[in-house]
Amino acid sequence: MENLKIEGTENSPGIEFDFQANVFSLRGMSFMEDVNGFYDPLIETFQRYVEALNGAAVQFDFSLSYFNSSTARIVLMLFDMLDLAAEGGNEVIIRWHHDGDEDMIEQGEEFGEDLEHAQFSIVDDQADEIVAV
Amino acid sequence: MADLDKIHEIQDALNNEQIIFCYAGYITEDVLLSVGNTIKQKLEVVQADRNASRAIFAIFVEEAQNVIRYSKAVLGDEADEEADVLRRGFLAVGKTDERYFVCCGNLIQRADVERLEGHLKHIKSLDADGLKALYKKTLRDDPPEGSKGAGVGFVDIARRAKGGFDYRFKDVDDTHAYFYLNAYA
Repeated sequence: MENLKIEGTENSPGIEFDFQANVFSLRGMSFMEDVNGFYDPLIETFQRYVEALNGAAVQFDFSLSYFNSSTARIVLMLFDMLDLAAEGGNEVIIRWHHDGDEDMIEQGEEFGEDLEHAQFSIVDDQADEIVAV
Repeated sequence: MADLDKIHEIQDALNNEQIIFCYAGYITEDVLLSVGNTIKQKLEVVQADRNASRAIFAIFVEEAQNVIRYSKAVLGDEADEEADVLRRGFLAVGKTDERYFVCCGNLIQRADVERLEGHLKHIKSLDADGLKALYKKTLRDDPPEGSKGAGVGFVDIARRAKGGFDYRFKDVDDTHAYFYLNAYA
């Protein structure tokens, strides 16, 4: 699978998907006009990747400063896929970064509480400390 | 010719309603981006509370995208999915003594008023836990028919509007009504 690197813009996130190293990140803003059109191909690729995983150590960093409600649906989809991968015997670490924004922390907590298998932590990028959940 | 006295009245009325920003016309993603950034800058200049600023920006984005997606005041062929269409609406940001508010308005079909009103009434009746549950459920469900996003925009607005929200429907003609939503961050 070809690695993916997309530069962020004012309203779309920077994306790095390294399928060889099993390291992934979403950064910045996400409220573009056609959210589904932007994410659908990524989700499809990620789904195929996750299904083929076997005993891998995966890390996914979410460092979003703002995302709209259409993007929230995508984020939850990614969480669900990652949790399934963890259930399937892979070591999955999800890290939710924020810079002190209360809504962002709350959203991370809410998405994180549905995870049953993946390891989840909320990271305060200002304080550089990890709050265990 | 536009009557400047009339325009002054409108401008004055907006001031009296404590509106600090107002946009009426065709709303595009470009408008959303530049106005959204201007609002952020303004809030930084007056050193508004950071969490409130983020909420104001988030509510503004959801409201503007609602107009861009669903306003029935359309220039262009709405039925043609490939065609560029422009949708008209109203966006305003204001400040009362305690809170900022973000208001939007757009034309809708009168046939949709009942469904929309029921939806908003239900959202308004929920407490924080109820809103959270509805938010997650809606995100996991398939988007409702006719939705161009996740169908969860109003729930998101309600959750961020710590001072509550209000809505109004005004009949325009036999088939159309004007829909207003005002959220207090």
